[in-house]
Amino acid sequence: MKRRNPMSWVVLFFVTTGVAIWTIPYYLVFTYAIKSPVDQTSTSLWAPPHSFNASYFIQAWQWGDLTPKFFNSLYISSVATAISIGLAFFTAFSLGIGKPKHRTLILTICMVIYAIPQEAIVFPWFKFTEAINIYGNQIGVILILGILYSAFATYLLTTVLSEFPKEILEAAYVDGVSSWRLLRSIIFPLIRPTLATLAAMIFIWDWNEYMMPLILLPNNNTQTLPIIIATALGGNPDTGSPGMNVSIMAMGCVLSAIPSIIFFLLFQRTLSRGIAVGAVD
Amino acid sequence: MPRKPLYLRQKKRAHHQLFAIPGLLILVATVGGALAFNFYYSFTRWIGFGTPQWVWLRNYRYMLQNPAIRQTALHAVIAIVPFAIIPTFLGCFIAAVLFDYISPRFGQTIASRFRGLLYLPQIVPLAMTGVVWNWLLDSKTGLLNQYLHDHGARWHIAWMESQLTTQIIFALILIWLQLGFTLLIFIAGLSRIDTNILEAAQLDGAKWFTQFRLILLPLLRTEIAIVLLTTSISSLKIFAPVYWITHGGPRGATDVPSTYVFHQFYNGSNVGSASAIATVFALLVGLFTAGLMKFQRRGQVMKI
Repeated sequence: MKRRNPMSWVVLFFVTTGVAIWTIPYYLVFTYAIKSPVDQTSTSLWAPPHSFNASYFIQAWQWGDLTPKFFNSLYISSVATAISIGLAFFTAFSLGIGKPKHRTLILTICMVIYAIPQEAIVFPWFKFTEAINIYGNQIGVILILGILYSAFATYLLTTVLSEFPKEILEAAYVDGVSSWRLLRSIIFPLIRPTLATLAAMIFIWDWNEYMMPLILLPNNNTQTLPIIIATALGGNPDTGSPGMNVSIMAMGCVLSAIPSIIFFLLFQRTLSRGIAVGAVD
Repeated sequence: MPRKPLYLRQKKRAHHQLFAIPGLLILVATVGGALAFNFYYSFTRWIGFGTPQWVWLRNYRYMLQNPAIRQTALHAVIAIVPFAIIPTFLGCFIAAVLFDYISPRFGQTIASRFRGLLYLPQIVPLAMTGVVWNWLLDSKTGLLNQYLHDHGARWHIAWMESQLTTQIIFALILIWLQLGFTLLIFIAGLSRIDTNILEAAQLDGAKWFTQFRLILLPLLRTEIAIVLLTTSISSLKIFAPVYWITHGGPRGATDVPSTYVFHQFYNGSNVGSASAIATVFALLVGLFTAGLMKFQRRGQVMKI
């Protein structure tokens, strides 16, 4: 630990203030959501709550009938993530380890596909789901999100795998290992932490996805949790909705953010490392 | 054990390459197919059902002549400043402060707590963030105005109702949103830097800011390029922040191509024209991405 001087306390003060300002919106919503009705009116907005009050939690949950929506989101995000990782892992193995000639071209195509704005694919995909009779079914959202994010996963995993230690590969080749065996018994176990991190990242993206679910899931019973809550809170002018109790609103916000926050806390360290490995080199 | 001859090893690699076929095929068929259909729609007049009517380039001409559409494109380009450029450099600086100043003096825990808090806007669903900001900034019932009122202010500022204030506030919100992402990548980049270099600099008596400018900044060059790449692209195709926070309003002041096109699709009003805009923007974003990928590769060659 380095020596602290008065200057370093000044810096710490400024940084803390900055971080505090950054979190104010969420702080206000979160504390409002867990304050008791008495606390809400009698104490200042900035004051921390006296006690934890779960009544709005239950009210918000029941009022929006959120249990099935929570499972909708969980189902869509996890299956779509599995598809992305599944597709990308094999492609990335082939590109990163096999190093074919046009690797950079293929990676550029993947990156372009990942970057392309969704509005350029959403309507044809909507028509396609109509044509094969899965419009309104969550499968339509799962497939397109799974495929789209597999492009980014391929890009990231290929970059990671092209740095795979040559010695291990050489040793495996000397032992005459087959492609499948190499993939399953050597690469997969070693790359698993990166896969987990990538899966966490993509899961959060899928969870927070809007354009595809908004267009492909017209029925509220199949819609995802964040969209349902935001719509119910009047956050979505397209669907129109009644105004509502601010406390329940605050709680709704907290509720729909919880899964992403849990995922982030679980993977925080690997997340930054994983991105670093993927983004650089 | 004798090593296998080279040709055998190369044959193995050829087998590896077969594994790319299903994934790439699905990816290219789906996205390519969708893009092709989108391209086709852009030459038609169509309300989303019935038979599309072929109108040649009329949608593209309409797009160029319509001031509202031109405005949305301009907004997306301007968004690069608060959504890419400012967060990149701010993130770079704050990452250095957290990692290289706060952490060695006050401990790593506090630095990573700060990082986590600054990253919050990135993980909370944007739909929620939108609700929160609207709750804070609503002119009548908003918390900010209530607070000002309680402290003696006589007027109600219509934060999100006048076009100019909305644009300014929204730009600030975009910086607020994006900083966590850039910070995460720069901190990860900094943690790979050899600490011996920094210690040597300190032995030579370098001040912190000099060290930042002359050592950390050059070492972060690759990260800066990559962060600028990804954030610029996300500015060009920005959708969710606009959709959930300002809804493109007031009166189109923050409308961007994505939200404009989305509404056309959603209301089924003019699919052909919307597809034309989507095509042009997909093309732009695609070219941008491919170009920056090239730049990124060249940067790496230079690094070696």
